[in-house]
This record gives sequence, C-alpha cells and structure tokens, in this order.
Amino acid sequence: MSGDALPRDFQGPKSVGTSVPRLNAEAFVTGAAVYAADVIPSDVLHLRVVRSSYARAKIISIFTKDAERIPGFVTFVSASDMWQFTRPTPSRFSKDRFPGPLDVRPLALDEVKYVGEPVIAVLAESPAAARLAAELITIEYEPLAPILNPIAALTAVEYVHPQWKTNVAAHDVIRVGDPESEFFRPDVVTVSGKLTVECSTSAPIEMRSYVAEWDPRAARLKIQGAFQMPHPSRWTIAHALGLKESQVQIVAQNIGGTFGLKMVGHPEEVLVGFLAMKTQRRVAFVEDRDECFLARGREQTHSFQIAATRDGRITAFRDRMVADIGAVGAGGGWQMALVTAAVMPTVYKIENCLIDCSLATTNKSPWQGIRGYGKEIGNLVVERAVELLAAALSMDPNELRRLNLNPSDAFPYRLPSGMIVDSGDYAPALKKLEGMRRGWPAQRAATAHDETAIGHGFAFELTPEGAAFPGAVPSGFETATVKVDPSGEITVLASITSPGGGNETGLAQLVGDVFGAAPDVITVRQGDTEVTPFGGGNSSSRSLMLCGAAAVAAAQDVLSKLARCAANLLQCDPAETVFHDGEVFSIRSPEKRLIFGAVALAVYTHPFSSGDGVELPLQSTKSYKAQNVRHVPDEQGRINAYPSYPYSVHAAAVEVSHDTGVVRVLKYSVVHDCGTVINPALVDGQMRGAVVMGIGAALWERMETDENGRKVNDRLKNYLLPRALDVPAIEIGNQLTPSMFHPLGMKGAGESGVGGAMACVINAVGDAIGAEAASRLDTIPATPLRILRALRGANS
Amino acid sequence: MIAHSFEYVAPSSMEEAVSYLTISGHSAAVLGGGTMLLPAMSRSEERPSLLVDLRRLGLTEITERTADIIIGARTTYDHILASPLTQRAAPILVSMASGITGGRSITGQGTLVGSACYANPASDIPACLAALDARVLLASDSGTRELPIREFLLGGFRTARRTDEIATALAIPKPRGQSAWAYRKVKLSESSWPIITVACLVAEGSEGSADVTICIGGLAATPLVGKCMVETEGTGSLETMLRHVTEKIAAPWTDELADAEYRALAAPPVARRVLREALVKYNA
Repeated sequence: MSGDALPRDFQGPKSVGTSVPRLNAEAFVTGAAVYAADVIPSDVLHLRVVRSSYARAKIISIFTKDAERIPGFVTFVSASDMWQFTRPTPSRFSKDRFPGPLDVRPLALDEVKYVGEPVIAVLAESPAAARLAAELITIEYEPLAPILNPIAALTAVEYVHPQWKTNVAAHDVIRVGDPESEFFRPDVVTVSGKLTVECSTSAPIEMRSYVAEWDPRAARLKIQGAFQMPHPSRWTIAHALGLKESQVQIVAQNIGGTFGLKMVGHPEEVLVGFLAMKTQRRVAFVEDRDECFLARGREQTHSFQIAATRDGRITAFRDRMVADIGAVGAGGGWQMALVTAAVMPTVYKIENCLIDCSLATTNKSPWQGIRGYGKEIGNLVVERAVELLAAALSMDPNELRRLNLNPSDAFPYRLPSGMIVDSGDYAPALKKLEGMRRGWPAQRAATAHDETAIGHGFAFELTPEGAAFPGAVPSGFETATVKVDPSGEITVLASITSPGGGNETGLAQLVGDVFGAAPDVITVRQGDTEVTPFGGGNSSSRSLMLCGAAAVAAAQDVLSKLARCAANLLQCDPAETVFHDGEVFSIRSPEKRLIFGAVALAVYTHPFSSGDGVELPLQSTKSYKAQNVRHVPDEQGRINAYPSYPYSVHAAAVEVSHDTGVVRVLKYSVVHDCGTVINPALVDGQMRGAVVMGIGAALWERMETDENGRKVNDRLKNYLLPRALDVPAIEIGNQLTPSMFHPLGMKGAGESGVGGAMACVINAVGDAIGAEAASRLDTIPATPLRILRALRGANS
Repeated sequence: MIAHSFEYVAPSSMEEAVSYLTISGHSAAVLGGGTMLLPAMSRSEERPSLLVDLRRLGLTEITERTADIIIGARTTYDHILASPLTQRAAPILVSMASGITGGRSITGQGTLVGSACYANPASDIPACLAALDARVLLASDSGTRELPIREFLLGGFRTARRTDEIATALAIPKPRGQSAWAYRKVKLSESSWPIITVACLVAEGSEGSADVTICIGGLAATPLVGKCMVETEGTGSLETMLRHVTEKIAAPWTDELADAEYRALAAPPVARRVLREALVKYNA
C-alpha cells in the first residue's frame, strides 16, 4: 500500500508528539543492554587479520611457519585459499558511476591497495594467540610508489584499480543557468575561496564485531554482530559466499554508536562466514581501535567562487571539488562525495551554478559512511562562501542570508542537482534563532590585555534525508509487520534497526496510538533477518519516516480487523468502535467496554461467531515507499534520490585565544525543522549528538596519513573527539513545516546538525579573528596552529 | 587485552622488588598506577617479560622531612588533591593535579612518580617538578641515590633510571620565606594531552629581590628552565630570560597532536602570562 491511503491528518491519542521516555533506556543505563561482542561464546575461534603495511605493493611471498608454532594457533587463510571458493563481494550501491567493473574481495591476492588492507586471516583459540600468531606472519612486499595525492591521481598514469585505467572513480557536473558569464559581469562582486577538509572518522565507542556459526546439517550460516543493515548484509554475504539468502541469518544486537560505520561491505563480515564454514567452528572477530580508524571520510578540496550584486543578491556560485575517496571497497562510502556536490547551494536561491565534482581513488583505506553523509561538507562550503561574500560586500552575514534564502512560498524548489526540496520556512527560522542569543557574551576583538577574542557565527544546513539511490539494495522503502497475538500483545516487526537513537520508541508511539495503547505495551522487534521483513536497516535518517509510515498502515489494517470483531461483540458498526487505553467500546454506548485483549482472543477462538467477517490473520505487512523521489531523469538529465529536506539554522559563540589559537565554544543555539515530530526529546537528542560531532569535525577531529600512506592516529588520545567539557549546553528551538510528500508530514531526523555545526563554528572563529585572517582560514579542522597561522598572515 | 605472556610479581618489600630488577631488569617493567604501561602493553608497544607491581609496598604517603616533602611512588593525583601538606608546601602540584582529566580512573590511579619515569614531554609532570627543583629517589640492590629532576629527565620518554632501579619517591624542597606560583597548560581540547606546560615559582631572594624560576614543558624533549633575579618592580630582565629560554631549542619536541612550529608559537605568550600571574601573586 502506498502512503496515499493513510489519512493526511493523523488522528491519534496521543503519545505521538510527546517525549515518551525511551522504552529500553533502563537496559542501556544499567548496563543490561546486549551488544554484539557480548554474544561471543567462550569456545569460538578468534580471527585476527594481518593487514598490509604498504599503501601500494606487490605481494611476493608469505611466511607463516613462526606463526604456526604459537600455542593455540589453528589455521590461516590467504586470498589464494579463499578466492576459488568465494565470489566478489557485491556493492550495495549501483556501480554505474564507475569507469569499469570492479571485483572487491575480502583479502588481497597479489597487490595491496592501502595500508590496513586485509591480506591474511589468522584463526586461533584465543584473541591473544590470534594476535601473537598474526604478528609472526611475514609478508614480503615489492613496494610500488603509492598514489596519495588526489589531485595528481586524477591525471596519473598509474592506477589504484588497474582495470579502470583511470583514478577518476566518478565525475559529476551539475549546472544550472549560465554561471561562467555571470562571473564576468562588471556589476557583480566576486569572492573566491578554497576549503580543504581533512579526513575524519565516525569513531563509535563500540567498534565492529561479529560471530559466525555454520550449521553443516542444516547448511545454514548465522552471523550475529554489529550490523546496522542486516538484510543488505545478508544479501552481500550470501552473494560473496555463494549461498542462498535463505541460508544466511543476520542478527544485529544493540549498537553502541555507528554513525554510518556499520553499514554494508566490511571484509570481515564475509571472512567470519567463510572461516566458520571452512573450519566448522564458530568464528569471532572483534575490531580494535586502530582498525576502526581505517574508516575514512570527508577528505576533499574545494575551490569556489560566489558572485553577488553590490546590494547583496547572489547571482552565481561555482565550485570545483576533488574528493579523496581512497581505494574502493564493497561499502558505499564513496557516494558521500556525490551528495556533497548535489546539496549545493542548499537553502539559497542562486540562478547560476556550476559544481564540478571528481572522486579520486587513491592508495588509502576506503571511505565508510559517516554522519552527514556528504551533506555536511556541501553546507560548510556554501556557508563559508556566503560568509566571505558578506565580508567583501561589507554586509551583515545574516542580512545577506535573508536576501537570498528561498522564500517560504517557493516550495517545492529544485536544486541544480535535480533534488526537489519539499518544504521549509527558512527566514522565520533565522529570525527565531537570532532571538535565542539573549545573554550571550558580546563579540569582541582581542586586546593587548585580553588574550581572547569572542566571535559569533551562523549557518544554515539543508539536510536531504531518506536516500533512495537507484540500484541500491533496497532503495527508498521500508516495511513493517504488525500483529496482535491471542493474549492481546501488539508486536511490530520492523525492517529498520535502531543505532541507539530510539526509533523503536517512535514506532511504539505510532502503533500504540493506532490501537489506543500506551507505547510501553508495544513489543518492537528489529535486526534479525529471520524475524523482521526485508529492509534497509538504519541509514539516511529515514527509519521512522519510512518504517513509521509503514507501521501505521499495517496497524490500521490490523485495527480494522479487530474493529470488525469488536463490532460483532458490541453489536455496532465497525466505524463506531473506539480503541482507547486498552479498552474497546462503541461511540454510541461508551458504558459497555471490552478489554482489548478479549477482542483479540475472540478473533482466535471464535472466528465463526465473534470473529465472523474478520479477514485472518490478525497480522498485516505493509511497505511505505518514499514519495518525491525521481529516478527517471528530468529534462536536465537529473534525478532526485532524496524525498525529504529537513533544515536547521545554527549559531555559536566562540572564544579564540590569540596566544594559542585554542577555541572554546561558549554558547550554541539551533532552530531545527524536520516536519512532524514523533518524539521531541529523541529528535533533540539526535540534534545534540550531531552538533557535537560537527563541533569536533570543525575544530579537532583529524585523521592524518604520513607520506607513505600510513595512518598516524591509532587511539582516542590522538584522535580528539569532543568531551562533555568541550561543549556548551545546546539550546534547541523548533519550527514545524510538514512535508507535503509524507502522509504524516515527517522528514528525516538524525543527521541534521553536523554540517550546520561545522559551518557556524568556523564562521564564529572567523568572526573572532577578523575577516582578513578568516579569509586565510581555509582548512578544516581549524586547529590552533592553523588559527595562529591565519592570524599571522599565512594560509592555514 | 594483553596478548603476550609475562611473569607478574607483587613483592612485599622494596628489597625483594629491586632484587627482581637485578635479575631481569632489562626485560622487566615496574607497575605503579599502570595508566600508561597497561595500555601500551595492550597495544603490544611494551612487552615486558616481568611486571613488578608496587601495590603491596604502600608508598602512597605524602610526608614531611626537614627541608622536603616526600611523595611516595604510588601517590596519585587524588592523594595530592586531598593532602593539606601539598596544599601548604607545594600548591602548584595541587593546581596541576586538579587539571588532570580522564576521571577517577586516571586521577585515582596515575602516580606522579610514574609520570616522571614515563617522561612524556607532553605531560604535566616534567615542568612542575623542574620548577620545584624536585629530586627523584631511586633504589636498587646496590643502594639508593637521589637525582635532581633535571638530571633525571634525559629526553622524550628517557630518564636516568637504570633498569635495576625503582623510583621510590620524589623529594620536593619546602618553600622558604614568601613565595608565589603559577601554572598553565595548553591543550587543544579536553581530550588532548598537554601541548605546552608552563610552571613558574617566585621565591623571596636577598635584599628585596625575587628569584624567578620558569619551566616550559612540551617545547623541547625536556623542560626548559629559566632563572632570574628581579627587583620587585622591574620586569625587563624577565623578557630577556624568556627569549633566552625559548629561542635556542636544541631538541624541539613534536608529536601527533602538535608540531614544533605550533609549540614555538604558543609557548612564549603563555609563558609571559604565567610569569606575570606569578609576579602579581607574589607582589600581592
């Protein structure tokens, strides 16, 4: 059923819209929650991966004799042992963008493409034995010159993926209007800028782990682990191992943070399955922090120009971006760079745009999904351009923003990339935010006596959510089964998983309201491919938007069956039945009440009398497919892969030390609009988390690679995540502009905030150090050294 | 998880403890609070074959001797914070300890002596101890000795402790007469280790002058120390001293979080402010 059948004005009593406490909060707070590594039994074999120490090299020989002498060593597997029994790991995303075919395997066969690439899988009876044995395996390499500079890679004649004969993994040119000639008009002010964004990583506190079990008699493989997309993982693993999907079960435990990391396509997912089948033993893998840090993202350079008339009407924007996506693996992280290009120029109405986006593949580890999924960088670039333009025009940046925001009556509007922005109300959101700065320390420059300066910064963020890329498995729909058992228990089987944000509570609220039941009596099951319907798990902030709508449709279907039975019992019309607070009655004689569970039981026990006319079973499965998605190219050859466009506008006050360049974020406010909100506290929680990630990415988080392509950072002491004391209270204001393309008016929530935080913090730092120095602050994160350099007249 | 196997002993006397080191000093490690050693072992960066745990030796007391206060090998930052003696005789250590992050698993576990032995240039301890003219007390099978901290610290993660020795305590001279202090560190963020530390002590000199000691940690592999005598009002000689201290750095320090360029830029202005703060306190 499509969402059209749902009532536009959702009538529910009415936990929806209220901050119902998270259903499973107690388990998390008391430590009772079960995470992936908790389910690893004591008698498993432990996998340790021997990884390449070279960015690019030929594998000459592998020496294992010393490792085999370690007590507890069991076996090892190399690509040559494995390739003949397995198939390439498919990518969840279409590879149509790529210049040619690409086979991705979990272990490198004869050439390594990045430091950290798996070469040998070692199995031992204990984690310690596996590590010691792995350390004693010697791989002889013939080093090749690594391709590490993405700009040079674009035109190099040596290739990361030789079969492609190019290092340009994808190229997209987005154009609207006539940007070239706009920049040459004599009456415009043009500002140029560069922005380099360094590599950062998702760094969840819980790292990845898996345990695989092969049942030889049933010929079935069960893998439990840190999966945010269990069904797509089943699909990829089954393909790689040559199994039927029905032979593979994926079970996802609670997730202790993912932010995109635990999507599909990690080599170890396939390795544990293969090794469990080969050894007929259970095989476990637990990632360490150094391995977790192989997940790269965001690394890219932008050269942009923005032009406006002297009175501040922005006429043109262009950007040339090169993203360093590293080697291409089975995961879909590289796609983030294309989203960066597609989101520009975000909330602003600019008639002439040219965005040229190249994805360079290099000898670094592959990109993995990271919160914001590229949108954060597109927003950052646009907001920096607006800020620099305001300085050149001697205008207040927010006046410039106001002049150029898409007006509230412009929706839906088309972005140059073909995205159709569903709804919004930008200017009032900015006005509301400006009113939230009461009590903030005033802006001031540093003086001889006072080492610090205080700056304020603003930024908009447009956050396309609910990605439905053509060719993705799955693309743009989610599914829920709702059933009522004889005891009256209402169960939701959801195709989505919760990354810790609480969407199970949102589902219970939505479904509970349909049945007139409290959310805490609803059972929600997620994350087991044997139990839940096929779906995308968790990605692109679409969980509740898509699966919530599906669950409401399924619940309404089951309710109509119960209403038939209740009508029989109450001798009224089904349309007159009311389900309220665990009871059922006729609106015409409310004094006669049935217990909800009694009605359910009657359907099971008296189908020929009380249940007469009820279409069995007391269960319904519905999918909800996103609206506002266009896969058939429009007249300009573009598609729209995102159905919903929440936005937010952010403000920060920062203090910058002119002595040390150290930045403290003093105040933070944000106005957020994601349409209809199911649970305000949970949405605010997501926003706060995203803002903190954005602050971290703007100021501190930085994954460095040395000149040989080796990662410098290996632990949370040298990759600086924000801590509680780094972050002020985050004040949240709300706007509510329902999406016209969703039956409940919902838009995605979850990723919103990363890009707005990055941009407003950088803008605030720029305000504190002054426009002239700010124009030199061209590298993210804005580390203290870069700020000191900008203050002293050098580019960062 | 520590992958490699090793012997573990927790001797009940210092004699016994040092005897283990005499036998296998080169491959042994002394375990104090373990906040650095154990993570390094779990990353396989340190692989001692013998771990000598000091936990049965007490050594957590902070005591007073004629001219010194003595800080035992297992005295933690929390002990420093709770001690009236350090409050009175070495308040700069209290200030330093109050800035240690990581929660109680660090402040209640990490030790000052352990940190001195770890000798990380990017840590709080070296500059503070250098400013205090602390001495490290060492014990071995062949007896005991004391080394001034500036002779003890040889470089980044290098000390003069022999592999058969255990650092048993720090001796900190008690202040004589009027004194004042200031301490600051530069961190990139809360989770950052200290990049630059500056400790300054001002003590009463002869005939109305003040003896100023300033120590800058994190700029070079070992703390840079400047001393000068100033008239109560005049500060011109301080600028000269500061230039002298910060301009000729034989071994500039660099690590994953900050390179030498940043340290060289950030250290002088911070040192200037710390100096000023200490002098203002002294003159008040």
